[in-house]
Amino acid sequence: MRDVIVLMKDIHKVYPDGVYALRGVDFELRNGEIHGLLGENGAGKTTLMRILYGQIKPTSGEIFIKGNKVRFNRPRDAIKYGIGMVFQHFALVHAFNALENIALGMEPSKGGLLNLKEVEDRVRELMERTGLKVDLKVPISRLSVGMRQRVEILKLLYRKVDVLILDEPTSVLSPIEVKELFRTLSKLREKGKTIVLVTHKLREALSICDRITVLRRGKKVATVKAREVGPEDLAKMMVGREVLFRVGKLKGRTGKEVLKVSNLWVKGDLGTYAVKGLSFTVRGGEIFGIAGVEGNGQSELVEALFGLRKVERGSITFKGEDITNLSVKEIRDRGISLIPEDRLGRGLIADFTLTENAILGMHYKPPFSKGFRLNLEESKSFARDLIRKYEITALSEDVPVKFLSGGNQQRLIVARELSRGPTLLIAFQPTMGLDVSATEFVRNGLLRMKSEGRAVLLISSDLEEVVQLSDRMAVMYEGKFMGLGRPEEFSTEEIGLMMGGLELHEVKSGNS
Amino acid sequence: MNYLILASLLIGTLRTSIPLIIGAIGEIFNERAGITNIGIEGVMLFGAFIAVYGTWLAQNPFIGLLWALLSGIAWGLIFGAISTHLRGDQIVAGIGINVFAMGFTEMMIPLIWGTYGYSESVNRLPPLFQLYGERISYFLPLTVLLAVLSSIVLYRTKWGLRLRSCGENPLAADAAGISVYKVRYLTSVFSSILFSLAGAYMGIDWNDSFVKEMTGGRGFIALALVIFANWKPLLALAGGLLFGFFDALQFRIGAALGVGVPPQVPQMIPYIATILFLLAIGRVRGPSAAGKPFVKE
Amino acid sequence: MRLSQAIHKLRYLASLSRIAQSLLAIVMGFLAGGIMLWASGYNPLKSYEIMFIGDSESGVQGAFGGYLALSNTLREAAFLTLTGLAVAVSFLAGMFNIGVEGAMYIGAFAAFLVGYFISLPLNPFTNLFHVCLALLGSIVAGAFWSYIPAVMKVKRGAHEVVTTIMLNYVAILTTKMIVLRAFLPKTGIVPGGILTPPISLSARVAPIPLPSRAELTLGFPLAIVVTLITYFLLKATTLGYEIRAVGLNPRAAEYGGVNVGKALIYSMVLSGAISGIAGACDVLFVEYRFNSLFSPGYGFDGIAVALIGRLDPIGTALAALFIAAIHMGARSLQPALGMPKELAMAIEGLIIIFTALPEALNMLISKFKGVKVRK
Repeated sequence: MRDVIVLMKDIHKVYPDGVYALRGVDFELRNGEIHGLLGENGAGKTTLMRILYGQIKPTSGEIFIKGNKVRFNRPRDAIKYGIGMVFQHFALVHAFNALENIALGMEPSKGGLLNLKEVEDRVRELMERTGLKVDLKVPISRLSVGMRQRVEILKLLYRKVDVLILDEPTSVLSPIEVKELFRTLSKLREKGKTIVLVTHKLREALSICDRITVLRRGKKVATVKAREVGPEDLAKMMVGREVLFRVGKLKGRTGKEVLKVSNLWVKGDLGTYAVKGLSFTVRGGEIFGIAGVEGNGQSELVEALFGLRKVERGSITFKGEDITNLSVKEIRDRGISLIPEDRLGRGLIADFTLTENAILGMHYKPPFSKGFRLNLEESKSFARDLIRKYEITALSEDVPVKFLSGGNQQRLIVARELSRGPTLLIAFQPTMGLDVSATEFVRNGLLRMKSEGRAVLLISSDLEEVVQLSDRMAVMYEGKFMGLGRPEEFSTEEIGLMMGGLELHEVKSGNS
Repeated sequence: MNYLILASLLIGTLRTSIPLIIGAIGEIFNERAGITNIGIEGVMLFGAFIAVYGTWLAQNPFIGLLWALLSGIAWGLIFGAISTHLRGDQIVAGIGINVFAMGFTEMMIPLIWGTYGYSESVNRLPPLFQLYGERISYFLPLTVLLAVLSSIVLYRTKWGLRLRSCGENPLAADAAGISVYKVRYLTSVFSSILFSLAGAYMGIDWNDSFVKEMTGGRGFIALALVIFANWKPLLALAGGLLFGFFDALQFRIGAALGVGVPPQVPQMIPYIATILFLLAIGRVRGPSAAGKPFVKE
Repeated sequence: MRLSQAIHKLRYLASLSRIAQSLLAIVMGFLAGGIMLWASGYNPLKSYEIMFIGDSESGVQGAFGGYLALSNTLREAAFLTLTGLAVAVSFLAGMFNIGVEGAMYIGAFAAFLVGYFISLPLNPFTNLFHVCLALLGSIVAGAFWSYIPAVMKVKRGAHEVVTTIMLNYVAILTTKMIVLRAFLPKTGIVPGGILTPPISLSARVAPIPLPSRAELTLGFPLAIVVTLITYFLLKATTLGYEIRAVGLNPRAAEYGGVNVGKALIYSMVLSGAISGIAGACDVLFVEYRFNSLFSPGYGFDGIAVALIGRLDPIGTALAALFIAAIHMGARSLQPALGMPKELAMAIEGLIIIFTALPEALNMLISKFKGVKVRK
């Protein structure tokens, strides 16, 4: 039995607005293990680790490091005790290079003048020992996500951290990068480091972790040895009931071609091409899914389809009409709806009421608008309708949407976009960050669209979601499709390889 | 071209660019740390007033300078609090500071000196040296030194690195163990000291008394200068000289243009020049987190 | 879920109380002003009393102490309402428009030109027609002046705070220059500014007489009308919806099909139009001529008014009345106590600073109510 190096006892966390995030959680970490912290979105796992890392203070409870009771005020305190954390979306300054990011906060200096050479030497040594290689002099903005993660890990190792907490590290990686990461973690374990892996992906937890602690709604359900359980056991612990991951795929009548994308080239923010010659079609009555890790051109594709980004080359045809580079309004008017990623950033106006958000995108047309006047009565009754039909929990239609929960906000967006009866619905990361019931709700909504004969374009980094819902699918990598076909035609490994950059023919012929 | 006028123009440029450059460098530090203070004009005006008042009371311009320094620290702490703990709207607060300074300084003139619109004359700071009857202030070499040192501090010291991280990604800075609030307080104090001293320069070096609204929009021109300089102190030095040139031009060109042109035309030059500069530069991207309050939980 | 819903409702109500936030800012501003007064050797309470209801000893009326004071206050309120609305409309779209002062001057000058160069026989119909024509001129001119920085921002990304301030100076200097050049030989220079000759009789509107030889300028009812129109525009039209949407979340607005650039430009054009009307009020209803320095800073006060009024049209009108009271009241301090009237501006500045801190109020409230915990 290994020694216990971290002990968190009876941790409670209540937020000022009343949210009870953690209810008496105990957590025990043993030296040299890889410990998985598992739970669905909102279970409290990140909160618990942020407390351990000193970023948040617990409302009550104690923390012991190697037997000593500690009280952390800032992450700096935790680092002194050898605890470090890598956040899901990283904590890197994009304008700086890797070296500057690693040195930040611990810069060696002579009389104030930076001495980055010293840092460089030490980091190179670390890179040798762990096999984590990164270009140190390039700004972070130009590094791939996998590289950025390495910088984050190097940051921790540079600070002589013994316990590494990784928050959802695989959500932004392709399957190949995930394998590399896990290899790195094993190596670190060999060198005597202890690792906490915070994740909602139970298969990954099973594959790499020694022990797994499951949290549900702020409470600890159990701590188990990974060898002794299977995925169904963990799923039941996470959700509390039998989880049906099988979604009945209805055989729909696929109709005519609704959307045709031909040789599409779209530039990204940095001036380079993010979408490189993409071609595909979507037919009425089918769900076409695009799988792929975030950041491979999906955002740019969606923006181009919706009129928010310029198409440099190629064309987009909708119901036979060329809609390339039309404005958002014109595209919406033709019957295309969008459930955007980032609901509060792009889908809703936080300070607007439910009513005002309900008509966003249709506010300039009858019945909500007559000439230049807004029809407030119509808008309100429409909003009330949506609340009822889509079971949105809200005090009234006059409440600003910022007071709604994430799940209800997404319900509103889905309600709004679906109620327009679009010919094509684009759903971009529609279930990100939602709990199980909201996720089911959204997915059922997509299936209903399909059964009504509408076309659905689903773009998601959740591979399981794409595979289960799509009639046809493609895997996107660096702006191109690595493979396109029916989900049944691919095995999970093959999809994984495609997400990592191999093209279908390479995958099928066994080259990897 | 008359060499005397040219020399006068050159010296005038140097003189008028000083408050612009100092103001711009102060705000460069602010925005690099994630603060947007458009109250430069107000702090400058207040600094000019308090410097004249202090000088008048003690009959010593150095006392006035000290008062301006203290005033800068006070304003810096106030704005620092607004940008951090109080999570206030920095733009609105900046506007409030400007309005307050205008009202307060104008109100105090009759209360102190019994006159309206201008104060009594006071002793000025001693000049570095005199040239053709024109004074060259100590502020001139000090401003150049400020620009150079600022550049070094910002890019080559650890404090500069930390400051810049607060303005680019305060969450990352916080994760690295840096106290974003502390950095922003210190930066706000430092920049407000600079704004105040720029005003003091106008009151007890360039001029010898306080005149109502004497900053004449220079605080706002300094804002434009920050963008023009792409948030780099050395470019602020260069740009400030350019803007100062146009500012100096308005005082001297009247004679050159002749009687036909009304005096308002040269007076408008600095303002129109600023607009043209902004148009020429186009869209710019400053530090990513400038102006947004940093909230942790 | 019930209890946390209730907490959310409380929080919603607390931050909904923008009125409370503004009131608190005003109170804090007066407190700080009181400290200033006390430090200068004046009695704050007495000073404030004089400001609002006057002082029979020195014969001043303060802001509301008599018909004369009332008419002055209402006239001031008219101007402040208009400039406040102008600021509010642009701020709502997210445009920090500091250029209302300049647009007002340009609008005033345009109204003057229409009033001066056209002369119609005097009867109620031509009077109405001429005034409307002049107002139209001021609207177009003011709208144009604010259109310029709007386009510069949308097309070239030029920061509107700087461009609008620069254009203020250009507007004031240009109108002064034209007056000097074209009209000076005919009139003189007055401490308040350089005056043009008067406009035609057909373009003037006399004030409404009140008791005690006081009079109410037409600007006041006009300001009320403009307030109601602005309210209607913002809450009940598509354009108002789009302006507010763009100001709150331009990204989401874009996704909703709104043309962000157009919304920004429209908001500034509206703002300029209202600024123009403000300027026209001075020319057509008060001075009957163009005064190169007619504004004691109405455009800038408009910012204070709009912020205190929380950018809501009705709130702005109420805030305008309040600030007008402070201004007029402060004028009484001079003869009564020897305190300069600029005190008003200083207090205004403090109030603006306090309105910048709504979050601070929210944080105080949530600390006050304590934390209720879900079972």
